[in-house]
Amino acid sequence: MRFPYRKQPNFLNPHQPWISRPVIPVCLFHHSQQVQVEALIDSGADATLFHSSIGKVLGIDLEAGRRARFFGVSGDPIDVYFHPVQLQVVGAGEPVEMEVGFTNARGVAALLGQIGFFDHFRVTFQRAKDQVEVTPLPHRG
Amino acid sequence: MKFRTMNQDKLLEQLKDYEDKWVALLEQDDTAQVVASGSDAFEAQQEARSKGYEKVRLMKVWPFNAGYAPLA
Repeated sequence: MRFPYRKQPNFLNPHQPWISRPVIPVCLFHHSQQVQVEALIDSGADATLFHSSIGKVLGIDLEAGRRARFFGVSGDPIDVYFHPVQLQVVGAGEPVEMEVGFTNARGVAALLGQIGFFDHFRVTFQRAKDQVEVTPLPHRG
Repeated sequence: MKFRTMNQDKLLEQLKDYEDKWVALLEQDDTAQVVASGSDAFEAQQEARSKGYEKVRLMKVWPFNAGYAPLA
C-alpha cells in the first residue's frame, strides 16, 4: 500500500510552513489492548521503538521487559525495554508478531526501524513523489 | 495498488495549535480532526476517551522551529 508523506507544521523553510515525513498509521496489539499510532519509518533506526506512554496505553509494565541501551545523534544513551506485541500497518495486511522497544526518551515517539518493522515489510521511499510504499513480506517460517 | 489519501491541509491547520504535544486524531472520510491532546500519548488517549472517542489515532506533534533527528 502506498502512503503519502505526512505534512507536519515546521518553520525551518521560510517559504513553506510545513515539512513532509514518511509517517504511516500502525496499530499495536498487546493482550486485549490496542492502540493506533502515526509512526515514522526510520531506516536508520536499529529497532522499532515507541514512547513509554504508548506502552502505558497497552498496559505494558515497561521495566519488566528486556533492557537494552541505544544511542542517538546526540550521543547520549537511552534505556529501552523490549516487549512482544503485534503490529499491523493500517490498511496493509494482518498483524505481525514482533518485539518492539519502549523508552521514556522525549526524542522518541514512534519509530519503525530495522529490527521488527523492516524484518517484516518491504519499504520503498519515493521522496520525489512524497510517498512511501509498504508491502508485507511473505511469512518466514 | 491502493493509495491512502487524506485531505492533509485541514489537519495541518489544526496541528498548529498543538506544538510539542501528543494529539488524538479521529479519522473520518477523507480527513482527520484533533479531538484531544496531552503531554504524552496516554494523556491524549485518556482525554479522548473521556470525551467519548474510543477509536482514535495518536500522534506526536514535534516542535515547529527545529528539525527532527530521532533519539536526539
